[in-house]
Amino acid sequence: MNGAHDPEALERHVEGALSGEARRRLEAHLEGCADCAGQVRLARRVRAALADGRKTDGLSTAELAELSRRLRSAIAVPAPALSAWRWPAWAAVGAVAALALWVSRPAVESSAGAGARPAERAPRAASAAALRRAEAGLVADAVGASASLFGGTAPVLTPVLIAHFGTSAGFGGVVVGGAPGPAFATAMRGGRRALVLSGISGSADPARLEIAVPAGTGPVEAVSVWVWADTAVAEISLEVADEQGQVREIPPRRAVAPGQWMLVTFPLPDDISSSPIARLGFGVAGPAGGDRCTVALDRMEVWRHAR
Amino acid sequence: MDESHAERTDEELMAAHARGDEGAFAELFQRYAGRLFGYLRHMSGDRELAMDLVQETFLRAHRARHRFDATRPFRPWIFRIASRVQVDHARSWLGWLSLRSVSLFGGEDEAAPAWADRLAGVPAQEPARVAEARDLSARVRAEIGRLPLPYRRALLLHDLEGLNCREVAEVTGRPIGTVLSWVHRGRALLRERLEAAGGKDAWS
Repeated sequence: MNGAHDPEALERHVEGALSGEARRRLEAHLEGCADCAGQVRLARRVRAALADGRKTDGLSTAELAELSRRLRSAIAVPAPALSAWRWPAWAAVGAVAALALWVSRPAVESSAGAGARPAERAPRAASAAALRRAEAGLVADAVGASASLFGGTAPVLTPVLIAHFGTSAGFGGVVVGGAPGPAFATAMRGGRRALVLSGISGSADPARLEIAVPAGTGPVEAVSVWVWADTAVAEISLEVADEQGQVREIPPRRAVAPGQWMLVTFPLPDDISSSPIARLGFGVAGPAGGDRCTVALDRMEVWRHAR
Repeated sequence: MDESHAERTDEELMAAHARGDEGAFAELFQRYAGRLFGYLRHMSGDRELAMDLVQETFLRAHRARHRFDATRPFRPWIFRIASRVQVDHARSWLGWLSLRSVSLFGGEDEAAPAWADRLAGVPAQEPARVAEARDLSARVRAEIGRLPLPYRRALLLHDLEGLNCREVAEVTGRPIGTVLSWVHRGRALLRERLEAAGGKDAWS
């Protein structure tokens, strides 16, 4: 290094991996080189910020245990091996099967901003393969795995309903529930015009947004929606009602980080996706206790198998 | 899991797992689940998704256990798998849907990431989100999510996960000079954007 600029030595210094003569030479260089010294300061600030995030955003003990459970299930370790794992709560695998969806040829949509016209269709169907996750959430490797895992030809998915909540008042939805009732309006959030629900309270009293699904939509495989929230504890769930009025709730997702638009997708379990649906409802809940939060929704897409 | 597992190196544990040692993989999970989660959460921008990707990473590692070369370091190997899992997911239907939605809602503004970055799974990136972040650390982390993909990956592996630049080169399959350039330019871009967003006093 000989006192000259040496990017790798700088990085090793930041890592604390330099010692002895190499370290002394670098430190001598830093004293006389404002550029390199500035780079070291910058690197340390970035590292400190990331380390700080690990403390606040890391996996909780419960999440780690859940992840372990799912992994063990996916691996299907022979029974005797299970005792080796640290978490004894070897719960039965959840009944809800999820879908992992793959596409090989994206559709091109030309009508941005269109409202939720009945059965609005993309100009071209997405060529998608729907892969069942194995019971605890195994994500298959690739589209090609579908045949070997599940047999048959991979189904093709197509969007059957697209609702732009922020740009069209006539989307056919109505906000209900939540005493004293959340305020809702279309407004800008995070650079995007959306349906904004404010005054959302805890899960005991969620706000609900109901959307009537046009007759003839048929069975649905998955529902996705863009969500923005001002708090990380906001949750969104999905209810699906069939034509007989039977309602099923898909477990909530807490995929909303504060101040960011996030795409939340609800793949529907088998017993729901095989029947025509009449109504969709999003449940939105905020923090427990007295605090209220604001949640914005935009662009819902409803997907089904192409005919 | 007995104490002997805790005392063994990552490479010894992976080799033991391939031989059928029942507790070895659990110990590796303990050591790496949180770190892989941190990396994949920053790469994907979604906690739930990151958990799925961590699971998939371990699953692929398990399937590849007989191909693991115990004379090579484990850490770059597992992060290479994680990077592959993340890229594969980003090219999936979900990643594509995110991509299309970003283009419809966000438009082609100057802050929009390049096409290749979007393909790699950048979630909807809103300039406002940086302004809304409450403190400098949060702003740094938010801005890292907006960096071009190679910079972001290199910074996260190096500055978050502590891989040295040679290990990052191994994970990414690129020469160390390229990795050093990514790290350097990524940090410089980060500082430039934070200063532009009003963080100069706290940052400089």
